[in-house]
Amino acid sequence: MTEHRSKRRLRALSAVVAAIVGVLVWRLVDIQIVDHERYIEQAQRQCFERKLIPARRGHVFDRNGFPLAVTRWTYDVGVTPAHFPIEKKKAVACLAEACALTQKALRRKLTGNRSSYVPLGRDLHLTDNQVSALSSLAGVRLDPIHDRLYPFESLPPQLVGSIDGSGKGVAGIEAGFQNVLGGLDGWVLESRISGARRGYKPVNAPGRKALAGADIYLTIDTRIQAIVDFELAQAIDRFGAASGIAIVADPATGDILALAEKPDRSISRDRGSGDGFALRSINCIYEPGSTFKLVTHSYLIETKKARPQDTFFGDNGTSVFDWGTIRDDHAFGWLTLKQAFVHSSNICTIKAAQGTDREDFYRYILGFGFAGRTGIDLPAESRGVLRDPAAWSMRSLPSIAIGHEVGVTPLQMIMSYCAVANGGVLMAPRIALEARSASGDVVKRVAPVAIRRVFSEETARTMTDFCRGVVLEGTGVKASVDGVATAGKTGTSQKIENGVYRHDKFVASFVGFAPAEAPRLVCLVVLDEPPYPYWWGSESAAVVFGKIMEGIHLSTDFFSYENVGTVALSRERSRTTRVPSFLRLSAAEAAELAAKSGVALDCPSLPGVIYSQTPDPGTFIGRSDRVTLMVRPERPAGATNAAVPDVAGLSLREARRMLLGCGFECAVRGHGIVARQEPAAGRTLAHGGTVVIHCAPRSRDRAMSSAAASNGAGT
Amino acid sequence: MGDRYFHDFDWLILLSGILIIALGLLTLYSIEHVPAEFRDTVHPPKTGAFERQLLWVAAGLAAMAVACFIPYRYYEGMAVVIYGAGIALLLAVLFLPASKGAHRWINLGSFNLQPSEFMKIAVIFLLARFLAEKRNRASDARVLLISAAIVVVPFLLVVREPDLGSALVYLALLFPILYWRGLDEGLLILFMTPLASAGLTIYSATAMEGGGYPLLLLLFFIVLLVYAYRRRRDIVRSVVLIAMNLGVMLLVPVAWSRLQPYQQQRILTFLRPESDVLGSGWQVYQSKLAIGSGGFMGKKFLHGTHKLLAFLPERHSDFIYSVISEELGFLGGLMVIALFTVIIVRGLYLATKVKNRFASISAVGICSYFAFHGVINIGMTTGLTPVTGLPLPFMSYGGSSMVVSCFLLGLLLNFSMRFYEY
Repeated sequence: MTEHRSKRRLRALSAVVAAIVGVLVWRLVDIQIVDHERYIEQAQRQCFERKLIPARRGHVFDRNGFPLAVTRWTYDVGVTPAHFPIEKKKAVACLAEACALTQKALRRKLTGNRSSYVPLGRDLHLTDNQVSALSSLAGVRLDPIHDRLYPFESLPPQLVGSIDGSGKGVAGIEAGFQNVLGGLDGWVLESRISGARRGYKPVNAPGRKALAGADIYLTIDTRIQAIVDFELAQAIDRFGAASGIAIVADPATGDILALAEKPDRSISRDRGSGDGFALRSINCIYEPGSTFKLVTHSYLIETKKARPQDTFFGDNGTSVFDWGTIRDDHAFGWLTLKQAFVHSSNICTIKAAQGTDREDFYRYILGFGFAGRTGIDLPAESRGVLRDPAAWSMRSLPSIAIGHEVGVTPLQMIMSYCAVANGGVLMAPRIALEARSASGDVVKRVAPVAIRRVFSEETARTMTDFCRGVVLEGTGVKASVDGVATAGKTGTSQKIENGVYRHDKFVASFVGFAPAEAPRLVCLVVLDEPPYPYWWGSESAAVVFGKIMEGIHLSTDFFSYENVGTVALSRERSRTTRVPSFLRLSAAEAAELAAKSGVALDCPSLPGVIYSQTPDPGTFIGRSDRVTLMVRPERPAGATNAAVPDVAGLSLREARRMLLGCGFECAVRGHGIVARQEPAAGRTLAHGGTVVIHCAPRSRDRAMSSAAASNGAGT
Repeated sequence: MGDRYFHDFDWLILLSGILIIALGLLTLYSIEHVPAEFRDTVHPPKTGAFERQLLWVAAGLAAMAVACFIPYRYYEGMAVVIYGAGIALLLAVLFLPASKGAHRWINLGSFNLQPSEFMKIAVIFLLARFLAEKRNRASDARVLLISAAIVVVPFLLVVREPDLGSALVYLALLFPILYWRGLDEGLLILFMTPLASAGLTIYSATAMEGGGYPLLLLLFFIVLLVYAYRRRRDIVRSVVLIAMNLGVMLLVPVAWSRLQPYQQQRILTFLRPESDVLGSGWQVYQSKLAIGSGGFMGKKFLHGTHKLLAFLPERHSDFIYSVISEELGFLGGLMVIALFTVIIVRGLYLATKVKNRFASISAVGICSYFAFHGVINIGMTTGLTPVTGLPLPFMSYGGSSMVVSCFLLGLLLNFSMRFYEY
């Protein structure tokens, strides 16, 4: 081999080596420097997986803390034995305690077990400390199960709503307050391990803690709700209506205190089934009929186009206008404007309204919030229907004046009467009072919102007088209640089907308030398609209104001011202090609040939460009067069984106080006097257990209602 | 005398080898090491690879000493015996029970012996001894046939195991050695072009979309025709060249259909690794993720995460380069390539310097061994070459590879000490 040749071949081989090294280095530069970012991202994406930690959903309570929707939160616990540190005593003890196993049994289960998942317990109740301890243990898997329970049954399911399979609200409060109730889901990074992909292995990497949702306190008062729900159901039964809606609101704040819709429509977790997710009270439109005359008459008086004493001729029941013929139920002669309202004369109302400016009247109607959403915090609210005045025909103005050619929702209607009861100021309806975090701090407070003054206080007084007249001498006499001065207006409207007014299908309604001189409650009752003679609002809806008001009067302190007022007029002057709400406060907080507002308290100094007070919040009391508070003691460390007290024969309020005082929960069916209870008196029940009390009205009413129920509708 | 050996000893080669071995050990240690932030939660299985590799390194250093200090004339004399023993082992392994679905290892109790690795030494020795004889000129047909036979016998035996990767190493050793012994470039082209044709044909046949590869094949064939026309004085060789390439192009599709499905899969994966990330391209994809996420400086020693989560298959052995590239980055990877390059370039220089022809040819064979293993393995981890299961010399976990690599390095040192001896 010559020197020259070998040198040449060395060069050739070296060139090959250099070329290969060059290719490899180029490749490394390409992967590690040029595409570095892309590979980093891909590597991280496949290394880690976000495992969601669902947040605890907040509860829903009524205004007094009565549970309406609660979450039962349990866990399925399992373990990947290969990753679980079985040699650590603390870890084993922690897991064994959580799963209610002995440490020995747990060790036996896990040692030598090669499967990737060993289930240890289903449906376990764990404390927050246990959850955080277990989640930080390698190999332990916690699968939360959340069951949403709706313990109060006298509430339309569409109001509280429901949640779907993924835990999101789909209707009612659950949907409307999803952001508040839902909290913030947390997550942990979890490594994915090839080879043992089904294994569970959290990584100590930053994640996000789940933030529990806040509890919501609704404006609903279950005491009133139970009454309204019961009376409406009775009414549907007695009058044979297809369906019915009843709402009770507080005119001063716009609070919805009760809302019932009958017959009950189910609501299901999955969207396909169920009878619909929307509350009819805010979603369905009806022609209000004569109840809408409130708007017409208040307009005439507010704009001074007519005075209450102005008279109009009723044409003896039939009046022929150039755009058509109008009939009254009764043949009226000369009526004053007030009488026209009281006796619900269509002809006189139309005559009074003749010649009003369309645009002005239209704007006035809009001022009440008709044809616009009220802004209640519930999903699927309807606007109602009111055509633009440019599209009105000759007949439109008179028709609207008596509540036809206009579509309203029950909520819009009751809010307009709230404006009367509130001295002319229209309030926005309020369904939620406040949201409280799990630790009890108020995170959000919903203040009452005054929208606008729709008419003067003077006009409000006049309209109140008109409404009082309806109950005293007009169409609404059946809405009168012993001991409470009620006021309101009846309404009867024909239903439209396929564009034609039916002569056999009506919507009967009554809207009113009580007490007339200082309204505390406004109530609307709408019955759909009751048969003759109940299709007149005066014959059915007014009766239901009366029953509801009577029930509230009998079992709550709402109208107590008036009661005392009539008995002891001389003391009224001294009743200057308004009782604040002590509900849900601790004894110490209550004492502080009482000192601030100058109220004397009778309150046991127990650790716990105040669940009842006498008299009710908002009542005026004198200086010498005392407010009695009841405290529900906190659950003692060792929950013990106790005997259930006998509450039969007590009023609903007394029974509830007694049961809550003994440390039991209380579920109410019906209203009035406690007829029977489950479990029976003397039985032992675990602390915090629920006693169901069945109530029935006082004996005088009971005979009537049971007779009506047994005879069926329409008698 | 001793002074002279000492004086001529190639310290650079030894230093490079020791450094690569050290890097390999550190990487193996790192694979078993869990960073503190993961210690509570990640528990990779204990393989004990690092501890065992320490033993193999000790064995390798012993083999290196043996190779270095026994005069190479002794090996030249023993070449036939060594070759015979190797063939016997390859035959034996075929009749021994299979493990992991292949007859590759002889179970010796606590460890497995891989005869195909040791056979590489035997092939180098026998080729070098045969071609070192002055009368055996590389261009003679008889010499070529015998040389080919020396390579093809173990090749076929190892293919039967089956272990195509190792088998290809024998073929890869043949061409540089023949070239070094003076094989005519024309003949080399005659040998090499059919291989290129085969590769291009497979490319063309398996490229599902895009007509680029058939065009490339056509271009290659036109270049061959031009070359043959310019060499038309040697008409026989030109005709043979064209005929062989044409034959390969026609026969490769037939051979393709006779390949094992996993071999077909490997070739397909090599061609389009990204297309089948969850299947056969998984290993290469993960390896590239590890290397790519390392970046320029790497994730620092012991702090790699890819190795930790066990995405990387065979991270102790075949894909150890991915781990070092993840932890030490581009610089670490470049260092490994540089160290191998130093060994190969010094080895080739030695081949020109050494006076003995056996030593010279052996040195080229040894360099080819390191180069081929290095290129195929590093190419494999970066997605350039097929996944063949060839270990990275000095670094991959495994006794046979370590001992053989160290022995070959020892031989280079041996040649450097005795370069003046005829």
